[in-house]
Amino acid sequence: MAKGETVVQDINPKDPNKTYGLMELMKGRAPLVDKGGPEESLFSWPHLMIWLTVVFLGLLIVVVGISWIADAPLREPFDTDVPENPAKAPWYFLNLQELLLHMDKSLAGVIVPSIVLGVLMALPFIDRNTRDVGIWFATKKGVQISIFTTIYTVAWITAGVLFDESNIFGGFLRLLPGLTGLTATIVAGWLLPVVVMVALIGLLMAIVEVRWRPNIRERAMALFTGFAVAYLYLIVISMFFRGFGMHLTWPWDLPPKAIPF
Amino acid sequence: MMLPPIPAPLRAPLDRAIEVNKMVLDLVRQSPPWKSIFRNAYPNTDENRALVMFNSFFLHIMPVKVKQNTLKWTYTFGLGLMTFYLFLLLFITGIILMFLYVPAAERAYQDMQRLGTSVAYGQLLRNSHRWAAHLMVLFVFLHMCRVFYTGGYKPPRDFNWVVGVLLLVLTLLLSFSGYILTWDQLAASAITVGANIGGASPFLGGIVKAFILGADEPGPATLIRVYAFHVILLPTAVFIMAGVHFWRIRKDGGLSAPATARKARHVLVPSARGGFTVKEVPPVSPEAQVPPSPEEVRR
Ligand code: HEM
Repeated sequence: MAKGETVVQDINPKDPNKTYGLMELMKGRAPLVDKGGPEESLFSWPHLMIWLTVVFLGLLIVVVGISWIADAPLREPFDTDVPENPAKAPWYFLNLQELLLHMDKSLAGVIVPSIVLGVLMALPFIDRNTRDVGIWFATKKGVQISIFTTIYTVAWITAGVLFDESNIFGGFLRLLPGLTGLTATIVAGWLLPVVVMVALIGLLMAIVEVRWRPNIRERAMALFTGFAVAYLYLIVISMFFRGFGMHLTWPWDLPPKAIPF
Repeated sequence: MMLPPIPAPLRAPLDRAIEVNKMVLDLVRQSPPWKSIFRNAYPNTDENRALVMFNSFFLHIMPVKVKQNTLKWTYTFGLGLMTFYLFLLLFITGIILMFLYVPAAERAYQDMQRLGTSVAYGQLLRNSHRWAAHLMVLFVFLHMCRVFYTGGYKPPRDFNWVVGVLLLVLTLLLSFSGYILTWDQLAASAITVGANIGGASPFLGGIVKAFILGADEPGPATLIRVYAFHVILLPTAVFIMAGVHFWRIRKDGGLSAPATARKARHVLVPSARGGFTVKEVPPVSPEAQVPPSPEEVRR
């Protein structure tokens, strides 16, 4: 008998009157192991159903409430001959619009988002370690890495946007006066942005590597946090800090209708 | 909680009312039409709690029992659920809007105005559709973040994460296409930026731009094609993919949850006397992947 074991009861003793019996025990997991066995699970009815109902009603109240207070915008009739200034996309694409100001449009609008989506889809095939599944931020390190990455991303994006000001040929080319024409387009529109983006991600991963000795999930957390924070922060910049001609301004100096709501 | 006592003169009529109420309910519940729809009795026994989930078309996508962790609101924050609910609200309000809106460049804008001026609750309807759409985009993003930070994307849920990313893209496209339909200056800005970005696709720029605009410039051809995407193609795609998403959640063993810090478990071992013995096995560390087998226990 292994250590710590206690016999609880004898069951199913061989009964001469029975024509059947338990023949064999197989090694393996029961179908319900880790799927929430009887002790860890509750009946969907009513426990889950109550949740589903309450959340639906709450959401309905919130949506109707907002709709009662705030009207959906409707501006002047469609006319592309008299474009708005600034002409902003809906908020969830403002991050792309912000990138558009800093690099070639096919890089900003198509290539970068495609790579991001590609990496997002590939993520579960890169990080397949199931150790800390189900735990927010996995480990203490995970929390620290996420906080650090947030600060890192906000700081670098702020610096980069201020430096590059509002057009791709402003900031970077100031470093390299004398470049013009196609060379300038390639250097400022492609080369420098790619180098900067790759270098910033590389530096982030290097710092995290050295400082925290992360496992694969914690590395993924640095990457994902960088993406999520950049996604949201670029929206904030583009929405609240871009005025006429998409130039940088303070939110209180924004021209009327500069916020696309 | 203690209810205040019922005043004596009310007691008799109240009892009578309850009795009548029960009689009517019983009558309904035992009527052939009711029983043809609901094949189990009211779910107040375990058996009927299971049957109610099996028997209903709408409920059978859900399991009979769920993990406690799934019901912990700080685990999911209900974000995926709310994303889906918002989609349903959008579906319903959207269908009503289709009765009131014609996707023709020369009258789309007036139709939007009419919703605010001459349709009963038209403005409220439009507002609900608009704000629910914004919320859906927000919640789908937050839902993705929740799944990421709880590690819900790891095997066996890896494929469902990919389905999720597709849903994210579909949600963005759905919201964007709806944004164009108001045919106001916001729509003009959006379609201009959108066509600009699409037109910048390497090698395929011209084709993509023509596909989005249906013409050289944003105009009537753009409106009708964006409309077709918005009311048919994209919602259908979301319904199908959301169906796959939910089905996969079931197949992947429900929502992710922390490995259970196992309690002492009971193991069945053949006993020397020919029967079987239930033995209590001490808890193992959560890292242990497979519980000890009977052979191990016997050793
Ligand atoms: C229209 C969009 C979407 C809808 C309606 C939706 C709906 C849901 C629902 C209802 C759940 C159950 C848990 C919960 O409520 O949080 C869920 C889980 C899940 N979703 Fe989504 N989702 C959507 C988009 C996404 C996206 C964008 C991703 C990731 C990129 C994703 C990945 C997952 C995964 C992996 C699970 C399982 C999580 C776990 O087991 O912990 N979903 N989804």
